[in-house]
Amino acid sequence: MSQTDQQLWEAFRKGDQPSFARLYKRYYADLYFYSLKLTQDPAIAEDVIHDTFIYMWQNRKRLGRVTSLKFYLLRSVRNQCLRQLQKKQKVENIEQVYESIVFRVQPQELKLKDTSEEVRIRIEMALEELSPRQREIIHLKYFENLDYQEIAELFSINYQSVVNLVHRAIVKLREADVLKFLDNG
Amino acid sequence: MDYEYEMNVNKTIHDLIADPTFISWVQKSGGARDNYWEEWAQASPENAALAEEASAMVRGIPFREQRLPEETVDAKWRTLLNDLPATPPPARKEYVALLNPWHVAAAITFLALTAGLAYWALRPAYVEYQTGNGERLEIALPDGSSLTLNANSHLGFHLPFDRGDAREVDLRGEALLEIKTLPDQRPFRVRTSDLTVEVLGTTFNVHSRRATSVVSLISGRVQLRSSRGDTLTITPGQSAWFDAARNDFTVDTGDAVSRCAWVEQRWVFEEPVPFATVLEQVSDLYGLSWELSDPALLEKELEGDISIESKQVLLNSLSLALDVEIIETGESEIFIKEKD
Repeated sequence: MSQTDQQLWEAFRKGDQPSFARLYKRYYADLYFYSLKLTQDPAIAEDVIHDTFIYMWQNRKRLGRVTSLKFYLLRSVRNQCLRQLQKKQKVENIEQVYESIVFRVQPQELKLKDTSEEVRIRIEMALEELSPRQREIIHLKYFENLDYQEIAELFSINYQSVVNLVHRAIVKLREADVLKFLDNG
Repeated sequence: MDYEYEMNVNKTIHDLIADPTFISWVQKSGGARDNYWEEWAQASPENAALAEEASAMVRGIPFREQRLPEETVDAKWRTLLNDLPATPPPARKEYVALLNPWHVAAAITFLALTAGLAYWALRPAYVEYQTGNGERLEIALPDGSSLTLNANSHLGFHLPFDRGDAREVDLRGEALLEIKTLPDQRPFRVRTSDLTVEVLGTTFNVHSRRATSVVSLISGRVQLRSSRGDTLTITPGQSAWFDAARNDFTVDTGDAVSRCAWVEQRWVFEEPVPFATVLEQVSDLYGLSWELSDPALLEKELEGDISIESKQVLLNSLSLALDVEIIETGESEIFIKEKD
């Protein structure tokens, strides 16, 4: 029943509003949760998505084909979030904005085999040990299902660095002895 | 190749996660090297740790699904729709690119009249939208109301929108309207060839083709007025039209929602409906003209839900539901016959 992203994208580029609406509704939640984790600010998160989609509509004729719509949207939203944070923090340097990103990932976002308070605390502490970038990469890789190459492009780092960052995060989780509680079904 | 699979070869995380035989072992899909990996993982504590880490990377960190309520997302969409600049339709090769109607100071343009999506603005400012075959357009009105215009339909209104004692639009064809109640209670009117529909704030569908307008109410209150001045107020769930032959209104209760299903790309027939009626709707939607191998086919009946996502989907659904063969004999012609 559902149209593919490609079909919706092509129709949207030709100006079909119902297809644009469908794209918006299909991705809204994911983009909102991602923006919220990046900015910690619901108002900014909403504005970012709003501005991103307005921009898309106004420039639809100039946008080319996309190979991965999800990647395109996440990247657009990420860039918008950084710009908004820079405005809010009134800093000159975008590097300072990167440092301010927390990107909290909480145990209740994960599927666990053991949901006791004790295990949740252990997982929470283990996640705190990771850098915000590691948490963001884990979110993009395992929640959003981007591939390593896309994540590399998003952060302007190389593929091997992405793999290493994920690996080191997993090492921390193994050392905290919490890997066994993850429920991969 | 085989050297890689000896016991003492040092492996890195990069080697493991890129190795299809390792992935196969992790996913327990019965690969040829499963025994090798089993042994390798137990060969030393370092291997065991690396195997566990690489397995975790392959299997992934399991996240729960996160959702927002549909109504919330729908509301966000509506806010966005209001802020989208009123847009000219996609420029087709035959047409001249057009102007944003809200720039009232802009020059006049015009457009040739043929099938297809077109839009033009005339000074002092009467805005018009026209849809073609299979096209739907969501339109945001200046007062914050919105509507979805169905295929082969026409909507027009004056600017400024808040002049006079009421907000008014002219409609030919079909539209589902969601009208905002204004603080000053100014009514909203839809004018068709045979009716004026007046509302305060509400969601309703107007189907106006072949000189008869059917109004279906989802929520709120509307009043219908015929060109003669007869009036009728309907309540949610009801559909009504002015029957010129009887010179009176006719009301249908309970089918309002089905009549609006087209907005969600479906037709809903709660009671069996003759194929002839369905063909009329197909024609309204896609501009198709049809021919039958046998007029008796018109008596076939259709009931239930039909998807109208595209011409193809619709024709396929119809041929399945009615057990007929539908052949496209031209750009907008179909031929219908019994299945052999």
